[in-house]
Amino acid sequence: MIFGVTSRKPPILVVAAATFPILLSSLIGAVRSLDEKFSLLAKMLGASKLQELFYFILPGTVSYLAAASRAAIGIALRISVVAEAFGASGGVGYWLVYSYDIGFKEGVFAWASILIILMIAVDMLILRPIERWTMKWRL
Amino acid sequence: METIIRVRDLVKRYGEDLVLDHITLDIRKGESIGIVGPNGAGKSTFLRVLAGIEPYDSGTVEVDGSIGFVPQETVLLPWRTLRGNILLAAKIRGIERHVAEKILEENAEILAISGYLDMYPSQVSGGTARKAQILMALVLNPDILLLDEPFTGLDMETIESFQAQIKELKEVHNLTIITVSHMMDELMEISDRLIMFTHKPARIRRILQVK
Repeated sequence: MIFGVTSRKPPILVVAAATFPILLSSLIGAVRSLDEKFSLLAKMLGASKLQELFYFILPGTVSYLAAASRAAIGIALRISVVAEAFGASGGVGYWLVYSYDIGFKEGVFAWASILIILMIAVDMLILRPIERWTMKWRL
Repeated sequence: METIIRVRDLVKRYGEDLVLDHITLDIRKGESIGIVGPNGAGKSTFLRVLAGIEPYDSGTVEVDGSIGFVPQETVLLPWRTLRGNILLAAKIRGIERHVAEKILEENAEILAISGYLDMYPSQVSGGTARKAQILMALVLNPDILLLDEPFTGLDMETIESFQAQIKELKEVHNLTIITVSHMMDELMEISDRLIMFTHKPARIRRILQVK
């Protein structure tokens, strides 16, 4: 998508399908753990269920979702390359397979290198700092 | 002195497990009560029943005043500063912010944690976090303060200053304080009466007048 894909649907669908179960399972785990920890506080303060949700549970899920997003986006990036290769007419995956099909070895290595650099950069420059920043909020 | 808490024949079970066995006790307004007993005797359960956050099976518990409960394990929100945690408690209870801030500042000074209020729970010691939990209870302006094992994990010097601070809070706010501990010497200093619990199921073994 980033490198010239013309159809956005396949990668978007694949990324959503790959990340949703991980994020959902992490969210459920976080809510259970937060509810267990803070239900006493909610009782002590006489908080309503809505107050418990907005003040205790939802802010608490941020660090769990950040950690889950890092894992999910890593998987999604890999899967989206495959999706681009077979279901799109552009993007890293498409150009990588196209280069392979026409026997253009330098192209295969170049696109593979771009893919690796992209994945490392996204992880180190975006996902890892976000995860670290939210980690102090973890129970 | 008028009775502020009246407990009659209190029985509490966890399933088939009898925890509190017909406890009868009167606590007078302004008194400082220490409840001592072996680990697992049911002291914390008794405190939670008084706080109204734990149901009981039979008997009666009459409380003539508002309660501030400080649990054994600190439950502060890690994404809020100590001040943020305490003011959130006041907000949930509908206490105006300027009123809450005034109570907060006054009591933070007594507990000697004014300099830590803008830090996060992960940045302060266990003792400071526990004091913040006490502030959270105090900001709700309670008549009765329930402290569950407040001295656990603290060194002797910290315990001594903490005991003096608790006594000062009691005097300043005319509080009735009930403190639970498994260490009798920790309670002697701050209690007017000591209630000794037996092993589980908890019964009152002895009541000792300290002051």
